[in-house]
Amino acid sequence: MTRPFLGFGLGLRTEHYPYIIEHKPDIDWFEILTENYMVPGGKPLDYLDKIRNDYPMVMHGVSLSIGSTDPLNLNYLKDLKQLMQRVQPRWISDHLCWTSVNGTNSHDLLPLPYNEDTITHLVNRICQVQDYLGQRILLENLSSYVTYNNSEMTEWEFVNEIARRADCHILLDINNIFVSAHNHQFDPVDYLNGIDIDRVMQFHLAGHSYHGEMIIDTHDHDVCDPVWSLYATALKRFGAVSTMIERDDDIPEFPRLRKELAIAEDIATRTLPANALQLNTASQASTNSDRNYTELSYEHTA
Amino acid sequence: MNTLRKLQYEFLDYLLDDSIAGIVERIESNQQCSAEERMTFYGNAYTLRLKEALSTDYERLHSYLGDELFDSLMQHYIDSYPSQHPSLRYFGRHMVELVEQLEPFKTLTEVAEITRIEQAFANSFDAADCPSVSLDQLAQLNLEAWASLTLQFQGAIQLLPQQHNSFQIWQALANEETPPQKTSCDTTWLIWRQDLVSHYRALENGELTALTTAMSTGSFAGMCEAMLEQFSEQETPLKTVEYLQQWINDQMVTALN
Repeated sequence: MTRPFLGFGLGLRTEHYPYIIEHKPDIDWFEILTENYMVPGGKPLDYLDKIRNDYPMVMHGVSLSIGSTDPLNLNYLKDLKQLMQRVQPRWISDHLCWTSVNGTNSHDLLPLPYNEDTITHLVNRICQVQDYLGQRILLENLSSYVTYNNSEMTEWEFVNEIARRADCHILLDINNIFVSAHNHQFDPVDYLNGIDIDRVMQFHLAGHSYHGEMIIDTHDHDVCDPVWSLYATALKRFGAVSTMIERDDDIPEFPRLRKELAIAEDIATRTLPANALQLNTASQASTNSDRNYTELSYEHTA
Repeated sequence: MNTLRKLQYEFLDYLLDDSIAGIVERIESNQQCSAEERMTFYGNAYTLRLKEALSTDYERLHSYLGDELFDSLMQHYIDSYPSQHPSLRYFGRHMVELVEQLEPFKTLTEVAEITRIEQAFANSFDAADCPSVSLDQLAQLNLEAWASLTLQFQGAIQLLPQQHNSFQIWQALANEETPPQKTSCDTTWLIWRQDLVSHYRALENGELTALTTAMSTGSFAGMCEAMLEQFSEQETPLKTVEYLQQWINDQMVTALN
């Protein structure tokens, strides 16, 4: 499989709309937060369309709640599909987590126990979602603060097994691996080495904060040196992977964030051969052409 | 599956009610951090995230009430209205309902009005897009068409009947000025969207009658009939056309059929 390589991107944030439209900065692509554009109309979609005209995009959601034991939310999936038709993203992603149960949304990415029952549950739901959307999705590893005593495997074994069985892709968040490695005392390199190379389609980078003995995934700081170092290790294992920086708080001016992204480009240039970093945006590798897709019916959530 | 479902219910119980007894039994503790401490990261994040959403949605209400009272209102809201929507955009949609029921806000009747104003602007901001008609299209109508003319309006339009000077209070807060004292002021305000920007103005009684009728029935003839209760037979046609032209200029009208 040839992995598409979009280059180096940033999360699209409302603070930067005017700058992007006026200056058309040199950046390979943007990642949008899916739910921000699940609205009927107005400025959010107007800005989205204008920026989409100039840049490739991927969509990144937080509310698929793929690990929930509630039925899949058909209304959400319909809105997601409608937005995909508008944006024509290179791919879409969400998180390997649950966010809601009993119809109540926590608006947080909550961890799952790593065991066979959870894998079976997730694989079934991921397949339903991929069938409904007609393409593979990417699922991102979390940063977490708890582990469950009924977990039977490491997080990377869990992530990998799900990706294999559900035939989905992985969005590997390098910062999340660093955060969880600290909070749960494992070696982040073991995590990287435990993930299948071909399943990884995108990297996330971000900053975090220390709270006593724990690290919180706050996205309010620059990417720190140990995460840059882990990123270089990841590049050595996975090769050229589309990379972006997520910044959600204390958001700096666009040029400063662009400068931070240049660090990722520099590390990739020093780590990988030049021909590996040639953009490869032609193939839509997330389309799963060997399956027959049909619109399934789902139960509505309460 | 049942085990996972039970775990998720217990996790949610902790977020909603601080009931830690169930979930804490399932969480690993170690020397670095106990299970209880680990769960507090989720508990704190839950409350902070929802308060941040409410603070963004009700920025002027926050200014009007002050930090302490607004924080108490937010906590009541979070306790009373767990989020039922995948998007935080819609989390605060029941705020008017709460301030109309909860002391001391329900006796401060301007509070519900300010809340409605903020909600109306949010709803107008991302309401569905629709093309607006032009004055040329109006001019092209032949005489027979006027009798059966129906109007359609943009979804961003909001009518806000107010008993107090809440809009003036809201305006002052939006300009970071000291708000005026609350006074009685029976006025209906109109919010609409033009070129993707929300606008607002107070409506005089004649335009209020015309717009309310036109929006509810869609009928131009019905609107004229309603106008006759406020204007003479000579004044009504002129006033009606004047209002219609104003609405078209403001991009409020989306179809003439």
